[in-house]
Amino acid sequence: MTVTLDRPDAAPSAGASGRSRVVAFWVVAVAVPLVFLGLFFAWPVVEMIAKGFVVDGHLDLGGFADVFSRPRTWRIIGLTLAQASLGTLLSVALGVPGAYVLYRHTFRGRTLLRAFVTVPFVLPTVVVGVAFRSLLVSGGPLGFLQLDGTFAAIVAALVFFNYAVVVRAVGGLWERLDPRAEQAARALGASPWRAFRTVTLPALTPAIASAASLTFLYCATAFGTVLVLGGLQFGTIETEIWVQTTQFLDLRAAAVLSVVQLVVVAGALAVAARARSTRERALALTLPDASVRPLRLRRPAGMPAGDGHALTLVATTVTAVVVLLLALPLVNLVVRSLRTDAGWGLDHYTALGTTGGALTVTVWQATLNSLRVALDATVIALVVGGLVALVVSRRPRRAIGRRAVVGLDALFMLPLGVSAVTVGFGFLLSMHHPFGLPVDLRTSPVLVPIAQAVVAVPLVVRTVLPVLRAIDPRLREAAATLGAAPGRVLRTVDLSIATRSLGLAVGFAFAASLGEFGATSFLARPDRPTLPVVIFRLIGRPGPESYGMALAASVVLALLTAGIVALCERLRAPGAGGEW
Amino acid sequence: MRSGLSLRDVVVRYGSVAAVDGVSLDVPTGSVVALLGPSGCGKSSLLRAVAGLEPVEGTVAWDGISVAGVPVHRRGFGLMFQDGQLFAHRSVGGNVSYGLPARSAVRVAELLELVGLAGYESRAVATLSGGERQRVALARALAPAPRLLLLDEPLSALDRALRERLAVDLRAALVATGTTAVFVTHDQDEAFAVADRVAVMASGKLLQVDAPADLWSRPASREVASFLGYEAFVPLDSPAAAPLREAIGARPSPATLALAEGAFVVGRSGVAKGTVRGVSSRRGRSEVRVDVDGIGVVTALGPVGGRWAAGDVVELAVDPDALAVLDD
Repeated sequence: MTVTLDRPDAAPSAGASGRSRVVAFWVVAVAVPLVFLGLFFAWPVVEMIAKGFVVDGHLDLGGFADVFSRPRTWRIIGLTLAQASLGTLLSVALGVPGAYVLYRHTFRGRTLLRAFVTVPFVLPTVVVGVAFRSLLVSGGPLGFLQLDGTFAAIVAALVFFNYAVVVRAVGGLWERLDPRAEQAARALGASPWRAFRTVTLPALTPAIASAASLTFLYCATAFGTVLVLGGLQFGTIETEIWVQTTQFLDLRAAAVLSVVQLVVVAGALAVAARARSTRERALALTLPDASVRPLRLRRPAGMPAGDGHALTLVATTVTAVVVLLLALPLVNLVVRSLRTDAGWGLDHYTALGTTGGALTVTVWQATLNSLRVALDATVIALVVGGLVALVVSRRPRRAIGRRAVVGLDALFMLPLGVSAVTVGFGFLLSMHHPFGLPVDLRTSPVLVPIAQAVVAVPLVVRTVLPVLRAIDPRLREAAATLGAAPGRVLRTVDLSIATRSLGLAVGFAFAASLGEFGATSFLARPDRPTLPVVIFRLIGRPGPESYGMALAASVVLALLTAGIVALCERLRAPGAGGEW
Repeated sequence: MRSGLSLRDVVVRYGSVAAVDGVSLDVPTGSVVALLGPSGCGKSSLLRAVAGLEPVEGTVAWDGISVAGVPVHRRGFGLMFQDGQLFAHRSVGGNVSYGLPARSAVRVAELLELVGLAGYESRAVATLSGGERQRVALARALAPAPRLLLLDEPLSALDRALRERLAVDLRAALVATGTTAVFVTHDQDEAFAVADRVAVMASGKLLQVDAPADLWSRPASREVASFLGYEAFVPLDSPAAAPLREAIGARPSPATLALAEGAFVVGRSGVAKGTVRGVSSRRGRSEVRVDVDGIGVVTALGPVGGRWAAGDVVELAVDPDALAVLDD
């Protein structure tokens, strides 16, 4: 074999120009997301909050005293915390057995069931609200419970929405957890329950804590669902910001509440970040095949009583009940959308081709509009979120660099929880003659996709980042020693591997954008409403026709979202899940 | 001008700790040097520094030209990791061709044949055994014809039989391609099997650099000798050392005599006596722990099928090849 050493002598100057290109790339990678979020997130939010605190050019914090002296404020804060805590507690209590059944066992239809429990999570919040109302109103299948417009209904809807967050996060870790630690505990004399409590549960705690804090975040900032279900009696800080802004035109109160929400969100995010960093510490992980067992309802032959079969049965029963409860509002929504005055029929769906006498466009036009906007928003979110994930996945050598990365990570998570209503209204305030330019961006059609992209960026980051972080840095080193320049390493290692999770990121971004309601409700122009905006308008109108149309439109929106996520999830490689 | 790799006073720091502390070493073109040392001695850090993966003080030069300003991918130094670090998202062929220009299928086939995996191009990495993975990693590292190949414990993750077989194959592949290589290992047998010269390292410093046979027969210090497997040390002029002195024809001096395993052989007649403390067996041969007066407990070799009990007194002969006189 001949070996040719045909290599140009590595001149330092060539290295230097290469290095400046690398530096330039990273500067751009950091700058693009920073500018985007600064312009379309920080600035509108600051503008909105400033409206409340700057009076005649002077800082006036009197708003705090005023707003906090109102009993209504304290009631709303109390309600927000109560429903978020309860919703989180229930989601975790039901989600952990669900994770055990769906990720630690195999059975026929498991893939389908896993996909099914994810459906509520990607459903637009307005649809969840409508589905629950149609279930609980007097005359609905559960009308006899008289839960319509109650606190319990809101909590149930929040659990419905967040069950999948817990199942996916905990299950993803559980299926890779090395079962031998638990087996060692059993061999040391621990009962199945004690082994679970003392060995497995502590190992799962980071995933549980991370999922719980995310669930808390989603519950505390819930908008569409609560607005539809809560009526005037119940609300969150988020709906209250909306009420204060649009109904009472009290910007000061809205600004104070935005700050309160920011504090709550920052707290939840801090807990999430801590939980994540513990989670990324090395756990004894294995391949799923090593830990997954077939699900058996009867105790298998040769397995003595008291060997943990009862635990499996309890978890299976709980999960089966939950799955039925998850299906109930969805099935009911479809059934009710098909019921007409004259019995059954597609009348409500036919009506989607009309404006229903109240809308500015037909529902189909609004659907098309939603899809177009979502496509734009997804592209923006992918570019920005992808760059953020890339930057944050680096582990710089110097401590100051590492701290900067942690800071960026937290910064880019903020849109996840900051009031979408605040963002939407802030857009209206800041995009009117931005920077004193004689243009009014408020009427520009680009605002809606941008606002939706702001909401979708954290989802993209959370999906792609864990995959990038899991890449062994030595893989990049191996590529470099084979002669790959930094750009090629990025393309052939980072990008190649991250692409496998990109399908899911696209799905989530698209779903988030399709269902976005908080910011869009402010920004959508009257002649170009999106589907959630149209649905909300329809349920606000009296009359069974409008309500029927709202149901049919909700089914369409739900099918679109679930279909797109299912499609995207099929595109990803197994195990490239990230955190969801 | 020196040909090949030369290191001068190389220091690698992690924070305030110097993992590599002033190492100077030459690796002439075409030769294979093993860096031998216990884990944590800084040998892997030194390797990574040469590859350009760690910031380094001192001089790293190739053919007399410093590579300080040259980024990793332009150095032309290949690196093979302990666990291969194959790209799981590429096929075997895709891994091997990574460092090659496009359309080099023939070269990929040649390399796979060289490492004994002819026809494996389209296999997925996940379907390979541990030994096959390391063979692919070697083919991948050799593919761009690096002017220097750095191997970081490439065989350590494998079981012993495979390791010993692969060490031979590795040496053959390096010789066949005329590759200059630095090979890091903590296993002296491996180092001796693969390398032309062995550099013993401890606590970030080089203790001795020599050909395997010279290293074995003339370890420079007690530290080197202990690491190579010498287990007992006696002054050459002590009475207990008399039969050993005779065996190698040395005169009494204050120098130290080092005894490797097997310096004594249990037999019917001998020049010394020892008390049996315990017996174990390795590959059929008995290893007898014997307590020899004035020397201490050492490992003597016994014939196959020998039977001893603790407390027996046995006759010991001497094998001069397992003895070395230390200079210090």
